[in-house]
Amino acid sequence: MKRLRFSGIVLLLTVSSLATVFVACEKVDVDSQKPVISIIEPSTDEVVNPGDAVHFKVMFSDNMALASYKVNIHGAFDNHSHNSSVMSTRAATDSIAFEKTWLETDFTALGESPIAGKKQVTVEHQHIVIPATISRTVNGVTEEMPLKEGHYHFIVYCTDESGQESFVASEIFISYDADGHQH
Amino acid sequence: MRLSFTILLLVFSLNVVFSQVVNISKSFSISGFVHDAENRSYLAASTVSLLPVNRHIQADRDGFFRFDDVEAGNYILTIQFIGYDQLTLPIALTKDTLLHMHLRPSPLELSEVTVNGSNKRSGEQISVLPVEEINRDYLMQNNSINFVQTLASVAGISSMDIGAGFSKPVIRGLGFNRVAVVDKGIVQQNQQWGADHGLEIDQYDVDNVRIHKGPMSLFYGSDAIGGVIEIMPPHLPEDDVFWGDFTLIGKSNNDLLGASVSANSKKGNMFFRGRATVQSYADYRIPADTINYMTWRMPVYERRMKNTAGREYNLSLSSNYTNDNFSSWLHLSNISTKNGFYPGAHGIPALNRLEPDGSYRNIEMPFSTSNHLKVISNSEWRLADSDKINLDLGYQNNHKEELSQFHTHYSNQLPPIVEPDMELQFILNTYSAGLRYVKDDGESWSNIFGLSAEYQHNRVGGYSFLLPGFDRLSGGAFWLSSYRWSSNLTLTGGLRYDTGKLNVYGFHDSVLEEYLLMQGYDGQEVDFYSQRASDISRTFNDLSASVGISYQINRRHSLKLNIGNSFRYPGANELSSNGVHHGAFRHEMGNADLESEKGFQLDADYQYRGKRLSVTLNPFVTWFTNYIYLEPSGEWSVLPHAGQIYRYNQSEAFMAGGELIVKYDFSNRWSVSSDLEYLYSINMADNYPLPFTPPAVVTTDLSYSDLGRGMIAQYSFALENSQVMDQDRVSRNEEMTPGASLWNLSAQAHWNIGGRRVVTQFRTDNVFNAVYLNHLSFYRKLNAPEPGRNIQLIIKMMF
Repeated sequence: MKRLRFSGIVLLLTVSSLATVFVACEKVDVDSQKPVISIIEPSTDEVVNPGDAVHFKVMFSDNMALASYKVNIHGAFDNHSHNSSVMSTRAATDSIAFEKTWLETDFTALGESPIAGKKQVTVEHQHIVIPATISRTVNGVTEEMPLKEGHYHFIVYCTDESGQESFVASEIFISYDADGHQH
Repeated sequence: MRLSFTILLLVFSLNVVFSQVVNISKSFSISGFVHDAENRSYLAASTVSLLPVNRHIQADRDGFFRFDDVEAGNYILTIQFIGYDQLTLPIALTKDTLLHMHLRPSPLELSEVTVNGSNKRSGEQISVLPVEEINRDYLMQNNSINFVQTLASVAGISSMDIGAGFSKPVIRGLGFNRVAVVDKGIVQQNQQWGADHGLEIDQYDVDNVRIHKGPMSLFYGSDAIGGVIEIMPPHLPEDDVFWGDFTLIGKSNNDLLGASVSANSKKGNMFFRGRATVQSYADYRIPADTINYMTWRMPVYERRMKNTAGREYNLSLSSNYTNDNFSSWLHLSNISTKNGFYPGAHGIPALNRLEPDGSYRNIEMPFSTSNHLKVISNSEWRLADSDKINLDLGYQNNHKEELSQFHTHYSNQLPPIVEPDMELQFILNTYSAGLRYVKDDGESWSNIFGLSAEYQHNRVGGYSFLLPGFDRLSGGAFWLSSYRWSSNLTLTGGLRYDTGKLNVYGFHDSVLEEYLLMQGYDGQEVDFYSQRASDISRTFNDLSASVGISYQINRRHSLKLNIGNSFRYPGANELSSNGVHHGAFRHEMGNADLESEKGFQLDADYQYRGKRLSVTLNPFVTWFTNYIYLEPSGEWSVLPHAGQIYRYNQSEAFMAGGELIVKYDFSNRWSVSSDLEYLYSINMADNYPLPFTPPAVVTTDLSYSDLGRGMIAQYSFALENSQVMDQDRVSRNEEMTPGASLWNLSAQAHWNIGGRRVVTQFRTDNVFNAVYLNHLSFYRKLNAPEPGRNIQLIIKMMF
């Protein structure tokens, strides 16, 4: 009886120590840091006229190595939320909210050097062009529509080589009026 | 009217120990533990009498008693203790018998009713996995905002909260479809894959819960990979009786007001029971004035999370017919909830949407509604000897909707004409059947042969798309066996084969297609994004097995070991989804080639029951051969508000950890207990931890309980501290979560008011209004702290 009890406890200890040993031995370093993005330009609420290019100046850095970046501009109108924005379908029919995504490959195709492999880099270019008008096709009829004026979110995403991802959002103001608006 | 409600002889674990050795003198022992039915503590020094032989002894300090050398025959065992109802139990002694007797405190003049507490299913439990049995009193003492948060006080269980209203259960870090909730024999299917879908169970309608930690596919097929929360049927009284209760609930944090009423009646062969529960709560309070979400600093006006109010309406009816060899239950229940979402739940909100709108109790868009209708029938035919046949049938209808003012990223999308604000709709119908034949030789060997089948029919609607429609037909055949080798050694094992067929109905998003074409993307790329789900037809075959040993080393020590495997069919979302998940802010892409997720687990359960000290240790090790997870692909998605594409993939994964529970009784009144839960996980493919791994937690309770005088029959106090450790072992792109120290207070009293029993439960959670984050919460990614201080009062009146 004593012996059985002893063997039971030994068995238990074996199981638990096995688990502990496994845990203790498994020390593989993984990259737990996300890349860091700082938007230098455009500045917050910078006014951009349709037809003009945004002056893009962003610093990317990572503890290991950067991989790629992406830029998205979309409307930040009333009731807007970052995954869901009320667009012109309900509000206005005379203008269209602008929305576009640029991948890094769109810029490298224009001669920019990729950020992949670097630890820190400041990317500066003027390849992000806000169109003067947007063409819309409804029931086979295409027409050129003006952009809806107002606040737009300007979002920059970045990944590093291990798949860590971060994004930073800023706002720009799209207006046909050169002065934009006063806050 | 002299309504009686006393009693309760809950012979839970009818640990009837069979003696293998032929005893020439034909004499046996009767031993047992005397418990307090209300708070599960042992009752010391009760008087135990054995009639007609007139032997009287006193139970020892931890409620243990033992009569040796009792000849086979019929006896009456009575237990008496001042302030408690006398308990009388007839015994036909044919073997060594170990009993657990539960006394209910009652200085009241009430006639005695015997409730047949020996749970019908207890004899069928062939499992040596750690099982935590929780009764109504525990549920009341630990009552939290919902059923899952109440269960989270058990070591090894965590809750994944969606605001303060609803939650999903997590067992040892496994949640979603990796945990099965079984209600009266039927696996609840309520779209548990969804990150913002809570569990629909009325916590006031639950009498008894068993929590099985570990692989349970053998019993319930797919999904029971991490464990099972099993809701037991209500107790059936033996005598004709009518009773009920009226419960009032108030919670300060979210101004919750609730009421629950039940009525139970037993007459002859029939038993009826009904319960209705209503709860309404307002926006919950957090101990913070702002939330730092990404680069935004969002104000929290009046420290209340805007639009997190909710309502809950529950109704359940049960009936039972029992005669000598047949028993049948019919359960009907409907749970209906409406919960608001914080405007930032699905993205960064415009600041004006966070401003107070004049009411904390209103529910504006976005909100979700869910309705879970359940019809369950359990029948049992008792055959000759101790053999029986059980048939469980179930129908469930789960209807969830998310309403959000029409919005779109695609300028070409127009709001639907009918129900323009219905963003998502899921309607799941589930038909279940289970047949079991229990062959028990009454001595040492019991066997269960069973068949089970389930059909799921899921349809979706709304102006957004998240999950494709699907049909799933699955079935299994199993054999479970338990062999009592000797009086203290039991071997268990089982084998099960399952097959499941899943048909997913594809969806082509023509609005997205048109939008992407307008944006100038080429045809191939447009197709890649606009095929939101593809037609998939898959068949899965899985074999599960388990062997275990249960060894009662002696009266104080016991040991259980179990090794088994479990599986889970991949879900429709994991196989075929393609698009931005509005709650996760990710472009998630299914993988049509996924195989069933399989896990092997080694579990141990060691228990020491000393005179004052008790120790439970539950270590485990799990190895998944193909754990399904979302892997960041490094490829950008061109869709608005998505970063890189996440693809479902599978790889080896490893988990280990366990729970350690130590309890020490300083005296009959004072006791201290401490639980430690720890979990380690790693994805072997990328060496990152698995997502949603709960942090280590140490919970310590100091409690005092005593019998009262006059109007107070019994009372207890408890002070609880939860030390939540930092979770810095996180999956890729998961946020680390700092730890916290939380203090809770509770006080419970049983009153005798005008001959009626009234129970009051007072609790203060998060006494110091500490700011803390729950690593598993849905609002964790908003950096929104968990609810602050909550003072709650529950008053339960018995009649």
